[in-house]
Amino acid sequence: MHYAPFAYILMGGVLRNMDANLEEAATILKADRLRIIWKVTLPIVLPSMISTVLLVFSSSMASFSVPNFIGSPGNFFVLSTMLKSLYTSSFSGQAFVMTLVLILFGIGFLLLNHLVVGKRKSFTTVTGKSGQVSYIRMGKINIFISVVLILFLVLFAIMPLVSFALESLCLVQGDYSKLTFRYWISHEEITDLSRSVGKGLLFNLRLWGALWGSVKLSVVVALIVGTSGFLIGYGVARKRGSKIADAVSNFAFFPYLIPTMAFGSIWLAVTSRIPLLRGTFLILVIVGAIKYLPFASRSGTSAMMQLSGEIEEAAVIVGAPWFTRMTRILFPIQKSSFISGYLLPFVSCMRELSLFVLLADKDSLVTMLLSFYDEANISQMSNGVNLLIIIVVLLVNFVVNKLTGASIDKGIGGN
Amino acid sequence: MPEIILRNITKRWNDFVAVKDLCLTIEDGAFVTLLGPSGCGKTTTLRMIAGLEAPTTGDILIDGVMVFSSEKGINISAAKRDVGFLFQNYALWPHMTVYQNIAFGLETLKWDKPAIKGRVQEMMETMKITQFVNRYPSELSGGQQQRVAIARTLAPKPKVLFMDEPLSNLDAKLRGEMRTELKRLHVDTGSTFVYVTHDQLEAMTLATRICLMNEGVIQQYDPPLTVYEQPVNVFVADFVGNPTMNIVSGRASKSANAKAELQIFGQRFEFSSASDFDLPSTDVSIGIRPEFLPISDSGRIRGLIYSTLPAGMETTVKIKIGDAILSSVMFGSVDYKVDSEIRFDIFGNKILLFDKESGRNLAFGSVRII
Repeated sequence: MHYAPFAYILMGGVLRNMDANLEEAATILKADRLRIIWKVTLPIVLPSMISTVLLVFSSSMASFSVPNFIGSPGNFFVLSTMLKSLYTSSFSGQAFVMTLVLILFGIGFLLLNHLVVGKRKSFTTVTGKSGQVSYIRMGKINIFISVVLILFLVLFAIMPLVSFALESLCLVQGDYSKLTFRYWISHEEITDLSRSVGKGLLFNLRLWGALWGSVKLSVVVALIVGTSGFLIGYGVARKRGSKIADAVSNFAFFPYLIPTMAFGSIWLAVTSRIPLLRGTFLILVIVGAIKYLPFASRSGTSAMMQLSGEIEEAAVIVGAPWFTRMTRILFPIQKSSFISGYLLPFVSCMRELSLFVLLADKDSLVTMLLSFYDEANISQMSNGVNLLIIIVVLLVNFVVNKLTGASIDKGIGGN
Repeated sequence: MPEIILRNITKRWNDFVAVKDLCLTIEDGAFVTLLGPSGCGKTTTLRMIAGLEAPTTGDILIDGVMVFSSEKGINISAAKRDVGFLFQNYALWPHMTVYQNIAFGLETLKWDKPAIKGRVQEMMETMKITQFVNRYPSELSGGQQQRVAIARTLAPKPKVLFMDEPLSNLDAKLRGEMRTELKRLHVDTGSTFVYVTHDQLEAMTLATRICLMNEGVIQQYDPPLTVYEQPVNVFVADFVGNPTMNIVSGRASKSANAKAELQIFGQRFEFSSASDFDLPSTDVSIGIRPEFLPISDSGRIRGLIYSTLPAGMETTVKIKIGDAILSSVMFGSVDYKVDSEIRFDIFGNKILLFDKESGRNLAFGSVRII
């Protein structure tokens, strides 16, 4: 569930860019729908499909937050949660070995991905010149599929929101019969099961501090990452096909393949050498920026690749300086892609835990606080915090959409 | 007004030589077409003059100013060369309206608002696109987009206008109309036009001079009619003209001053030129334009009809003679029966004699059956 949107974003772009003529040519040859999908569409998109699968696999491999919240009660350990517990119980030697294992996995997947995609790369550059989109007529199945998809969405996306809201209102955990706003609006220190929890969420300075910390971090990271992604995309597209361009784009993608936890632990090792940086805002920005760069550089590159060089040259000829060309020609044309290059890091950064869990104080980021409430088993508070994060993310997304007319899902594959 | 001079321009990509030691002078106010098959280096040449590509070696001067020199390390950017460039797919900025597209260049030149407004209005009127002022490029047809692109390019009044196959994306009818307008535009603006095309008809009809290139080397640089009538080699002869020139292999020997005896189609002919020429080898090729093969009952050469292609205004007749198939063009619409026998002549004094091995033109003159 967690990765489906990501896969959709990657694959949607590929499918949308595929030349409809290719399928039409097959239709002319009297191939039926199924045969077309099997024989034409699939082979063409197969490389990117495989690479999507591999990437999702490698990122879930490294994922910490999901297994941490869901798995730990049931004793379902994965490498990354083990890693964290090793750190907390200060077996750092073993932890670094584990890090190495995770990195090796990452590199393994990079190679595998390269092997699969590299060989057939020519397919992946199918660029859509044909603008005609022909919809598949699915008749009644269409309705069926739509209903299933909507149910799926409601069940897995909307339900949690409602349940977060409800859970945060429960007087007693899990008991929906007695609801209270106590955990939201209490001015007094709440004592629950004889522990002090802090003030109600809306008046809890600790929470607001953490939330502000997260927003600040996310904004700074998003600005850095989005801009770098745009520039990397520009550079790669300008020198397209050259060795340097390939090297740059691969290099920018590399952090993606280092599992998040391993990444955090590498930087933990770095900061233990340079105590000045330890636990500072700066180190979080650096780590976040590097971690999210791959995504922004990918979306930046694909957006730039779609612009023919002539678009920029036309502006060069009339004497527009570089900065004008960037801000008035290139950026506005692929606005939605580039905006999503800013938004996605922001959103991911807001919810990111695994990356920062080893590096930050528990009060500095809202996800850290969340993890703390969760460990302390105060589900009303943690669910409330969850809801707050989601609201902030949606709000920012909404505001940016309204201001720029760009949206996150349209962005990655192009228009 | 400017004159463009290219001296010993070479462009290399690794081992691939796109343009080889090219020297070219484009006179002030000329309409020069760079013509050649795809991959001959014509677009590269254009982009180098415009400043979008840097030559590997050589010098470029525009209006007496050195804009590029590999030796002196000069490379003035495209923006400062005061040129306009019309791209093959127009490269209109999709997020700007017609007005904004045209005004953009003027804004970067820091014209004041009323001046921009006036100039854009003027350009839109010239190109007849006033009614589209607030449309986006995607809402225009190909021909309308082309007009906007021209208006955008001409708005800052460039001294030189470069065009890279600007008509190749248009349908045949529109292409014809735009040709007429481009030729008028050239006269009206008085600018120097440099135009890249692979379409020989476009080059013939538009240019004051054609620069025909092949594999990065200039083959011929002459006015269109000279290129048509006196091609310097077989490549040029074959590339220009439609239907293509008949090129027939034969043998020749000098018979007198400025005369040679030819053996073609198993018959003997006398070739006579206005001035004397050398004959390096007995193996020659004879080039005959289709219009110089008139079919008539009194013709002295016999052939068989291979096929007839009437197009309304003129008819191309394919004639089989020996192993060769010749094209003949005649005015009006005629239809011959396949395999029927006809008679024709070789007419006029623009029959070409080429050296078979080098393809070089040796002489042109008339041919008489003996």
